[in-house]
Amino acid sequence: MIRDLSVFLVYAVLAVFAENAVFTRGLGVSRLIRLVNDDAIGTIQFWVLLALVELLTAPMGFFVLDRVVPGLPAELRLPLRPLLYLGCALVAYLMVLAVLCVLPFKHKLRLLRTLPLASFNTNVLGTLIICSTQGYNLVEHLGFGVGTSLGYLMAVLLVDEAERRLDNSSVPAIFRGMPITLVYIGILALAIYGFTGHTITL
Amino acid sequence: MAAHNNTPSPAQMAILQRIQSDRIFMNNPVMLQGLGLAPIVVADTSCKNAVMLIAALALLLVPTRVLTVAVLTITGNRGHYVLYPFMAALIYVPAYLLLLEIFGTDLLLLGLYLPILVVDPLIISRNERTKLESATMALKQGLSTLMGASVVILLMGALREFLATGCLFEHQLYFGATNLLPLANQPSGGFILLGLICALWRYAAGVKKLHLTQEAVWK
Repeated sequence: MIRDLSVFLVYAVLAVFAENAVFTRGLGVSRLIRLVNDDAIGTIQFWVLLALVELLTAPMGFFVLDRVVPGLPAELRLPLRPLLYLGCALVAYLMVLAVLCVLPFKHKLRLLRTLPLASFNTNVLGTLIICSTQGYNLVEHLGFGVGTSLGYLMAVLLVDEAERRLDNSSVPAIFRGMPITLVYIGILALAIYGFTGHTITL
Repeated sequence: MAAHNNTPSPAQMAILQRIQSDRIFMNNPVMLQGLGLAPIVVADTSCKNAVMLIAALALLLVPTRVLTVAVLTITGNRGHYVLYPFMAALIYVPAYLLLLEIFGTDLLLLGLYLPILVVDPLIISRNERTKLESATMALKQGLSTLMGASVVILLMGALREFLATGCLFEHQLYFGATNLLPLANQPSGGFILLGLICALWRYAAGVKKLHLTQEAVWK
């Protein structure tokens, strides 16, 4: 039990820092750039939904290839992977949707509008594919999933703060907005690359 | 005194429409709208990867948009959020087998950036819109988005390959003692290079838009 807990924590920390989805693999970066500029979507609300979907899809993603469709021919496993993992995301989406519909939440409509964006994106699908490619077990799957969503929150907060600070006259006009944000993310990615010291597996 | 009229003239409307529909330069989906950044920043490190990414996009983007519109017409636009990614994932199965036939094991160079194309905003961003487009419009916009994204993918792939290895399509062009910018084929280099090109692109697009708008005022 303690061993599992420590494995969970190690993989969660790995996904937050050394293998941060945004800074090392660029997963969800298009959504991130739109998220920090979009007042209609709350950062925390998006993150809570993303974390729930990541947590729910992690065990499903672990079981779906080996237990649900074990007899799948080897040549079809790779092309069918996105469809099967999207199926997991759909189940997670419906579960969260059911909870949102039943329980009395503040800003319910806003959450309902944000839920599809948090459920079907490169971050969720990318995490499942990474875990499958690396051959993670269930605990590692869960730890990496939770860590990825925490890492995404960290990236959103860092970029959000940077956008606020970089929106001033000392930044050349042609760099304001997306260009300077990309350069900033690149510098942070470089720092993480220097910290880990190796290229991640694609 | 006459009230100030903010309604654009027909000439200005035509210019605005021209800017909106120019997905290659003035309203490029990558440079202006920030779509499809993940594969470009990480996997688009050489001309070979760029060609594979473009081929994958060509097989996924237009069919996904057109077929989803066909299904949404039947469902009365219900389920648009879910249908776009699922349609892309369904089309991905034959597309992957075809790509594997064409490129062989080189396809593995794209890693997870090939399967995640099915949820990439370049392909499914239309699922956020509540208004259903026509099949003809889906075809036209799909093709123009594909062309705009392809230009950027090829440009970035060529630039990164040259800076990181001194080659273009694996042919040595630069024979210096050290490579120009080895960082260019890392994700961090991809972000920085894309940011720099994006700034220049937006500046050039802004100049062209201003020129067109001024032309419309004079008409």
